[in-house]
Amino acid sequence: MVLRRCRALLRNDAKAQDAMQDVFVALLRHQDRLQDEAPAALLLRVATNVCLNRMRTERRRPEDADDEKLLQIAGTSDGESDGRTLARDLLAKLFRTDDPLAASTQTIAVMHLVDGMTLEEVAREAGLSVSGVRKRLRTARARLTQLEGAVPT
Amino acid sequence: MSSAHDEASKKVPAWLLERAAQGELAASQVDELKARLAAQGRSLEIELAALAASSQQIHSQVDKDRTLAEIRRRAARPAETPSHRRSLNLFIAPLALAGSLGIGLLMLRPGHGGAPSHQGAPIVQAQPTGSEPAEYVGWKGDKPLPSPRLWVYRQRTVANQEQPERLSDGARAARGDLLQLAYAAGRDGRYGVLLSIDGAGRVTQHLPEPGASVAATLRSSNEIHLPTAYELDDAPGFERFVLITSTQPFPVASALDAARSLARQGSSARTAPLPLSSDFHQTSVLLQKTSKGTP
Repeated sequence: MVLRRCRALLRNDAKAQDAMQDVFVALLRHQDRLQDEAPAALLLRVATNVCLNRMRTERRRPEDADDEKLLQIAGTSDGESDGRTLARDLLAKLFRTDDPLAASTQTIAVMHLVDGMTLEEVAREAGLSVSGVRKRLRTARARLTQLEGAVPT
Repeated sequence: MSSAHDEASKKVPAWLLERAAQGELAASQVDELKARLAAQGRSLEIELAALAASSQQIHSQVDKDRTLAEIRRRAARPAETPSHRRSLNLFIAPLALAGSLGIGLLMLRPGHGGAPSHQGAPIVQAQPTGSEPAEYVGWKGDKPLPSPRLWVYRQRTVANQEQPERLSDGARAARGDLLQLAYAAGRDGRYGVLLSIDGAGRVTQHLPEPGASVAATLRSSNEIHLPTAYELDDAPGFERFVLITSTQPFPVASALDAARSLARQGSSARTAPLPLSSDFHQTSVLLQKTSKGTP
C-alpha cells in the first residue's frame, strides 16, 4: 500500500522504494505520537507528505496534469529544508499535537485535487468539517494561484 | 484548475480503496465507494482483488530483508537522533497491517522476528519466529542456558562500520550511547518483564510493549534481541537494566511497582533486588554513567 502510494505520486519505482523506507523510518521515529486508529490512513498521509517533500526538493518536471498539480501543491511550503518540513509536517500535522486543527493542508489538497476525493471524504479522512476542508482548500488554491502567477507553466 | 478538478473528482480514489482493503472504512463509506465504482461499471470486489494481486507482486519484487535492514539503519542513524532519551522500538501499530503494505513489514513487529537494529552484528542469524514476542537471534554453537540472562549491547562505530559491543555489568556508558537489549529466558524463565531504572529515579519498560498488562512470553532459546535501540539520556549516575522472570504469568504492574519502589531508594537501586517474592528470578546489568563519551 505504501509503495503503491509512493509510486503513484513519484512515478519512479526507485524513488518510490526509497520514499517508502523513509515513511517507515518517520513512523518509527515518531511512534510515541502515533494514534492506533486507522493505520492505513496514517500510512497514506505520511507517504503523501514524504513524497511531496521529495518532489519539492527535486523540483522535477511534470509529466502530466496530476504531476503538475502535485508539484504545485508540493511548492506550497517551499523555502524550507526537506528535513525540517518533514519533521514539522509529521509532528504538527499528522500526529497528536497541541493544535488538533493543524491538519495537513497539502495532504488535503492532494486528496481532493489529485486523488479525486469529495469534500466529505476528505473531511472524514482529515478529521475536519467540510467547511474546514473548504477553508484549507481555499488557502491551498490561493497559494497555487500565486505560484501559477509567479512561475509560468 | 476547476475543469481539471472536475475531471479528477470523477476518479475513484485509490486512497479509499486502500483503506477499504484494510477494513478501515465504515459501512456507509463502503456503500458510497461501491456506488461510485458502480457508476463507472466497476465493482469493489474486483478492485480489492486487483490490490491484493498488486501486493503479491510487490512482495515478490521487493527484497524484504534488504528493505528492513535499510529502514532500521536509517531509523537508528545516531546523527539524526535527538539528544534526549529515545526508544526506537520497532513495534508500532500501523505496521500491524495485513500484507498489503507492499513489503513484509510485519517482520518489524516483535513476535515476527527480523534482524537486530544494529548493523554488522557478527554471526547473528535470524530464525523463524512464528508468533514469539521478540526477535530471536541465535548465536551459533550456543546451548540453552539454565537460568535467565540479560545482555546490553552498545552500538559503536569502528572504521566507519557499526558494530555491537557487549557491555559487562558495571561498564561505563554515557548520554547518547545507543543500546540494544538481549535476553535468554533459560529453562525456567517462561514469562518476563524487562525494565530499566536510572539515576533520576525513572523506570522504563522495555518488554513487553508499554500498555501490555501481562508479562511477555519468553522463548526458551539462547539469545533474543529486542527489536529496539535505546538511547541513553542525561540521567545521572547509572542506568540499570533488570530482567524479571517467572514460570507463571504475572502482571507487568507488579514488576513496575517494585522497580519504582526500588528507584525511590536512591543508591540502593544500583544493586539491590527488586522487592519481589522468591517466585521471581531477577538478573540485571548496571551501567555507570559518565559525563564524557564512551571510552
